[in-house]
Amino acid sequence: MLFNSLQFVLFFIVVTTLYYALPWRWRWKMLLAASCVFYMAFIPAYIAILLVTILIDYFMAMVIARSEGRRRLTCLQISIVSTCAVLFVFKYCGFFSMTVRELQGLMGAAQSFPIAHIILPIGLSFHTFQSLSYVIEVYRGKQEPERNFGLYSLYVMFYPQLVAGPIERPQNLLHQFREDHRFELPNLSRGLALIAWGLFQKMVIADRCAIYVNRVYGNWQGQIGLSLLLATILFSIQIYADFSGYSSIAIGCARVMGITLRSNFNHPYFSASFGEFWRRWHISLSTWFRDYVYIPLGGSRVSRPRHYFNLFVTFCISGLWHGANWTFVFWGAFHGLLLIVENLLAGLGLRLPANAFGAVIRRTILLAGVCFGWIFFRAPSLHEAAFIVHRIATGTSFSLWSIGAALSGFAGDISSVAIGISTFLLIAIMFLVEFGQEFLFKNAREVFNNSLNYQFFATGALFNAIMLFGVLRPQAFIYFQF
Amino acid sequence: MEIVTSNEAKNEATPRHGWFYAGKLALVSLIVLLTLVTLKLLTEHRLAPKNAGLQGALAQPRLDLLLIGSSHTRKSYDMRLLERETGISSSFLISYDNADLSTMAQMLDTMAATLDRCPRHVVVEAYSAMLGRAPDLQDPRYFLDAPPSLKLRIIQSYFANHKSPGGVLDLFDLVVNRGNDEIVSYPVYIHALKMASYKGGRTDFYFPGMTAEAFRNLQAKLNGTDPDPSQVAALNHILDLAALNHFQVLFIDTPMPRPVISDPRIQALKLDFQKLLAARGAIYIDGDERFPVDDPSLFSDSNHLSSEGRTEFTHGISGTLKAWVASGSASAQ
Repeated sequence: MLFNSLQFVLFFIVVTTLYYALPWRWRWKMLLAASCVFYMAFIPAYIAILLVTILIDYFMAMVIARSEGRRRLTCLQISIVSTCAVLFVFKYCGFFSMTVRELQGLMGAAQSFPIAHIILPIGLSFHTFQSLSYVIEVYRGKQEPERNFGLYSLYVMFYPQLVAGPIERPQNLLHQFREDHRFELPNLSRGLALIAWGLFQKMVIADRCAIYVNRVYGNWQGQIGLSLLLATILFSIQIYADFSGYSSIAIGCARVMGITLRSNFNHPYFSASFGEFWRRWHISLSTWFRDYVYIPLGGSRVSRPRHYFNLFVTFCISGLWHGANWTFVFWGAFHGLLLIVENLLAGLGLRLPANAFGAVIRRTILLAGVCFGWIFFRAPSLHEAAFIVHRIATGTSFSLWSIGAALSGFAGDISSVAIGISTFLLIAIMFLVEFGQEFLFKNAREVFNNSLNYQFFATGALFNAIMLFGVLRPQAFIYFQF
Repeated sequence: MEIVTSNEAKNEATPRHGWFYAGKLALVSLIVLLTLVTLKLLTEHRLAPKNAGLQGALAQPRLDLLLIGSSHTRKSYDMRLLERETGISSSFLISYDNADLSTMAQMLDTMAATLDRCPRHVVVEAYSAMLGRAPDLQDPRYFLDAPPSLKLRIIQSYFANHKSPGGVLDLFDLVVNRGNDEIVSYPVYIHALKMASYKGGRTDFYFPGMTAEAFRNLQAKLNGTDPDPSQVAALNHILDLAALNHFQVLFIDTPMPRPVISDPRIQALKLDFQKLLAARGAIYIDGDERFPVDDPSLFSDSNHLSSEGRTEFTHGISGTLKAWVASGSASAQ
């Protein structure tokens, strides 16, 4: 059940109506049932896997809370290992077996290792991490174990953020299910505006970019450099609009019910450094890795080489979390290296001037680096990614013929001109709105959040933009595959 | 407009207020959408290009030869070459992706009703695979170019054949969502189209030929194997229209690659087409007969000619068309 489908619109209306119609002690039960229905709309049997993760972490958290000393740590380790084992079996088994076979081939041995073909349960990486954060927080004493199994299950399964986040912390979410949320018009208005913005990002921006990106990356060998360059730039916009759009819809759906989810994106492409980029991109995941991997490894309060090692390892794991492929590991490692270089240069006192010129250069470097990384994120293998990089570097020209040929990728004929121009205009509108919030009207969000009239106008305008310019046939979100 | 702040609204709201707010929002949004779409439906055909498509044909002061069809027609005729070899300067080509006999009948109807003088000679695409397909939604550019009365006819015709929820959604997509890119990018799009078109034919893209291996693996794409009653009715309607408006019609099946025409289903449909035309005494030319259908370099995919193929076919058919137009004009005099 995709957020951008009619099926979901009906589901959302029914669930929200029931939510406010029921007495508050029944609400969480209804939300849990609705979340199960939502999850089972994808592959029903896979709810059993989710249940296994929930059961493990629910009971281990109870045991951790009652234990002391070494036993406490052992329970945490058991919980982490068994939760990660589920993730490994379903997400990384195929990758692992394929890698072993390739190694056998490289060593000249017969490629006898069996290859596992397992379908990845939707959103597994997200709810695994959400579940882990609960156990770790209980271990750290920052969260009381939740004794109500149903409420804990809802914490893992809450439908708006079940399949692609934001990855919540128990301190922020669990207590909200116990609260009696009375209906508030501002919540409805703000929630609907967020949903409309998310759908605009997904259906108007991301899905339009996807037309070009899929066409070009689907036939990467036959493309000229400029087409591949344009497809990479459009992919960087697509993945942002797709995931940020999903997050906005999730936050908006929860907001309508009076539940606040944490923000996941904060205009990342306006960042001035790679460090800042990661504080603004997929915030709930970045902070998860910061709190549960980077800091436990020692963070930055260690020797400089060890600090860089910590950064690199954290980003490699983050890359692997995104997908079971060496392309994702490379992508993570590349970002880790960028941060190390940035830190090194800052340590040497090499900084660009703090004026407009410096700001433009910093952002240009950031965008170039991030786009380069996305090539590896999007390409099916390292070999293809290397080919694309090589073709862009050596085969890009800006002649009239090349521009025409690159633009034709939208539809393969003269309609490409129309689709291309309107797509670029719509992208410009999205970034202009964000630019205004970021640089021109600092209090725009506050004013907007406090005005029902603005929210009403914005939601109506976005609805019309979606109907007139959106891709109306539902397309899956990119992050569903993780 | 009075600014209502969140704090003011917080104090008194109940779920009923929520329903009222959501209802008001939905109603206002739908009214705005309906207004915009109505305005679009009534006026967008005025933005249609005057050197391509239906509006391009309607804008011609005189039409001695009209070629009408789908992308097959577009990719089979080089209009500059055709004009040079036949000497017919008042010619035009209308093509829309997936245009079938039903669509062509609609367009010819519109032209007969709109133009003072109908085209004198019309070459109708006789793509056999299209005969077996029920009328479907067309190239959105066709809908954009169509005047409001024709738009209504397209909607009615589609709705009559597709009453499922999916069909209604497709129609909604066509009416509300399609054509907006062309409107938004109008000045640039029209300029690009002008540069890329000649008398309705395209001069923009180069379509390379196929490799021998890809050619060998080609397969026929068919949606139906028996003549569809709506398409047969449309075929008869075109012939009736020609008789009524005194224009000559010639049916040409443009060339297809050997692996595709070898398919017995295509052969059967081709035969059905020929029988239907023979029953009405209409002239039919099989483009495959005098064309090297075994040459991969002359085809760009399973059912379209490459740029070289287009030149070859246009060159080959020009003499026939010239003679046909000359004989038609002589008999009219």
